[in-house]
Amino acid sequence: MIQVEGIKKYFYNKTGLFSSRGEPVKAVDGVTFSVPKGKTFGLVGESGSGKSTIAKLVTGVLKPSSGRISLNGVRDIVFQDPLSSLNPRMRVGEIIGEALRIERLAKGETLRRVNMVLEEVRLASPGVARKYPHQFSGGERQRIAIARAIVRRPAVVVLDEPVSSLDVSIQAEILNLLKDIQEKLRLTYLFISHDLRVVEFMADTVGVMKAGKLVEVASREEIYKAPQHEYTRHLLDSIPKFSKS
Amino acid sequence: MSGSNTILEIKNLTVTLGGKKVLDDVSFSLFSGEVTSLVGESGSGKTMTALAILGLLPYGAVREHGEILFIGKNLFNIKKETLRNIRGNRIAMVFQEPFTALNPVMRVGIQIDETILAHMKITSREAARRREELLNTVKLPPEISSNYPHELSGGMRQRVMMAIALACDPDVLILDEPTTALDVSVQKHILDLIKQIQDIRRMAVLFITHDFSIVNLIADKVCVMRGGIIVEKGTKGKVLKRPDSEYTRQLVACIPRLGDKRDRLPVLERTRVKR
Repeated sequence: MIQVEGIKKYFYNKTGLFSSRGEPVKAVDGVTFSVPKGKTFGLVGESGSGKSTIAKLVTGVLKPSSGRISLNGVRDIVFQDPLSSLNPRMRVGEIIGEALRIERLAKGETLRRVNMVLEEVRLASPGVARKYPHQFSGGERQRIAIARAIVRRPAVVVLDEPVSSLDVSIQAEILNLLKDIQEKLRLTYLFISHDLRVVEFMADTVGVMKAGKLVEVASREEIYKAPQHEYTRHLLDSIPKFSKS
Repeated sequence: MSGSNTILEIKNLTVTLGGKKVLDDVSFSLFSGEVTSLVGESGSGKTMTALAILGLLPYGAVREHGEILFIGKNLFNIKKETLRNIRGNRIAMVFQEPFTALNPVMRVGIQIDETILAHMKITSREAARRREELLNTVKLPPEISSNYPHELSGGMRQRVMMAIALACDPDVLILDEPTTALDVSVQKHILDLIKQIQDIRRMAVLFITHDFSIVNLIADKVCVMRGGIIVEKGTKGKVLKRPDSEYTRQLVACIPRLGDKRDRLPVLERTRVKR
């Protein structure tokens, strides 16, 4: 599970020779939420609302200025753009195996775990571990990134816009895969997206972020049927809809 | 299909790249005052079609046969200068990524003026006035002329691109995924703006997207592409509600919708591509 209590992250502008420290940028400004084990918390908001800063705080890449984050077990992350998040000079087997280095496994065991996880993301085929990221399509690369994220059997996976750069058909495959893996491994997801349709499909609970604050947190049913905050309604109204037929 | 208001007609266009067909017998028409949406997955040939219309096929791409008629003139059989005069002037395009399409070291005002002066025989003072009109059309304040692209938000940059595209009152406007890189609320503003401009100027719009919900919002007609082939074309209502092609049906079905009760999304059947 994930528990986030009153976290803040302030960034200060680099100080010039004569300028004082000045007003900080409040990227995350007092955010509280919790996600039970095996569930998905969807975080929505526009660019600059602080979603990705929360991703970095929860994965431990950034330290909060104040507040507390607690998780049980390993956490890992899948980023939006799989091409830039995978080292182009490493083979797929090495990319996934590298995540296991901290566990100091025997070589054969590492190989076995890599092959198992490639199976889990439905990418297993002869020789796939010896290929480089550029030899794969965008959707396949995202499968590699997911494999790397789950190979250590984390309790929590942070998914930062994992399908935003994909075609809708590939998006459907990846979303289904994420749900299958979550059920199988009882993973807790923090799912970040600007697409409210995708979040509705994935999340049990939804948090709406604006300017570093969570303006509304509610169950999926409540937030889409009876949005309370004006900003949530505004986001929902912005989505182009299919005509009712 | 050649009605009185056909402005651009693509007839049996086949283009190869390295011996492989990237466009295969593509035919469709654009009409004044109508938005035609070109929908398909990455690599289906949407952008290649747009580039063919602009005479900007990438190096190595070869037109095997077919023609593109702009007001009856075959764009493949005219002089380079004539084509250059049509491109950007009579046929304009807005690209997906507004940041890479703008010159980062030039103020945006100058970039708009550049297009106006390249195509219209007017003084720079008149061009500046024209620029203010254009900024007004795309709902940007005139002050942004002195800004550099990096000082503007994604939505503002895309409005600047629209202003440049509209500079010479084009007959055909091609928009290649103009809102894919933008937030939903910004996307809505841009789509509303495109519709408003379209209502007033009555140009023919070719709107390239992979998102059927945007098609529903903006298109009159729809062409669905797959692997360089147009697999379906028709009016928006027909294509979205009663598609002939199984592929179109699957492409519409795999998008999550608001209020979706499905636990898993349907997945397109695809033949695995050998690598």
